[in-house]
Amino acid sequence: MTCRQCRRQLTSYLHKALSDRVSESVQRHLDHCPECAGEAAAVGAVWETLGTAKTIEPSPGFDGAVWARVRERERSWLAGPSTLLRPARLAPVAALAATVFVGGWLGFRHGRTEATSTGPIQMAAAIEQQVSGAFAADPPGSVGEAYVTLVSLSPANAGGETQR
Amino acid sequence: MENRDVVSELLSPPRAVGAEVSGTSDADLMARVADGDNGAFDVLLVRHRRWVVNLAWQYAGDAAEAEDLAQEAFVRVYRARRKYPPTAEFTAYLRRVAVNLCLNEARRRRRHPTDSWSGQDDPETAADLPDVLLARAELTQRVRTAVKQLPDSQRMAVTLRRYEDLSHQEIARAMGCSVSAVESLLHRATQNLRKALGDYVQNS
Repeated sequence: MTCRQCRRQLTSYLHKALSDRVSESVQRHLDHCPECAGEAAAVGAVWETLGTAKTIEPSPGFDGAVWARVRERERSWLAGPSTLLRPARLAPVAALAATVFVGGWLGFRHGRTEATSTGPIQMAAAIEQQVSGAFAADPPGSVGEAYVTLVSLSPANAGGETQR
Repeated sequence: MENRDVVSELLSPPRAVGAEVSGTSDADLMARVADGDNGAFDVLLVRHRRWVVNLAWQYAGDAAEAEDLAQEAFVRVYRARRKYPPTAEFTAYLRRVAVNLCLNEARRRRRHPTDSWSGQDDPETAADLPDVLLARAELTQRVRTAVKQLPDSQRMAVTLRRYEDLSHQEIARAMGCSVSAVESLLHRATQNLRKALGDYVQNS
């Protein structure tokens, strides 16, 4: 056993916490190494010094204080919010709910705007009118004439006059 | 009997024999507590409160804080009464709860330095002592300061070894770590204490 190994084992050796084999090995080393033997004496002195600590007595109201705490916890458990309702645990749920609400509200508003807007319809009618006008002079049986006929049959123009 | 032996004896928790004082083991009492018998918990309080308070006091160095931690340990045990494994040794179970509370509180206080333990409430102050005991009081204070300055885990290992007189295996169980980790903690604690108590150790 080297001095380094021996010194690492000294506290356990003094606490009699080593196996018989290791303990004997440390003892043999200490018998022949004055430096490590001095180190062992110093380690022993450290632990001897710690033994001067005092003790205290529990206060007379110790048991009563324990029961008061128990009752207080049981009251707060019954009356207070459950652990699932603690603000820290509710935060992610609240964030998700807020996201869903805001998203739903924006979606609702956007959808209603789209539904009531006449811009796209007017634009489509203008394009139709332009294209139909461009094909109005086409001879019967041509592609242009067929397009104008189709447009005139669309629901928007049903019952109305054709562009021709 | 040497002073340290008296201290160890006073601080040692009741072992298996102590648990049978009134003819009922701690495990049986816990079973009764789980069935709603609060009187059984009163018996456990009387049996164990002293060493739990002293364990917390040796660790925290503050009597008021020690009472607080010890009371909290009992409250936790009571609230977990229905989960208590009947095969567990009650003393080891309670010690584990108390050790965890102490270590958690130390961590919390390190994060909030303004809440640090004062450690200034030694029952005997220098003014109360005759001159012949002043040197001992000074040494006691020096030891407490040295232990207090150890890192949390080292301080707990020293507390359990010296003031609770636990084996390395028992310390490992109480702290939830391996025996080799305990040996390493105690080795490093010894080195740190030796530095802090250098002149006292050499003069002793």
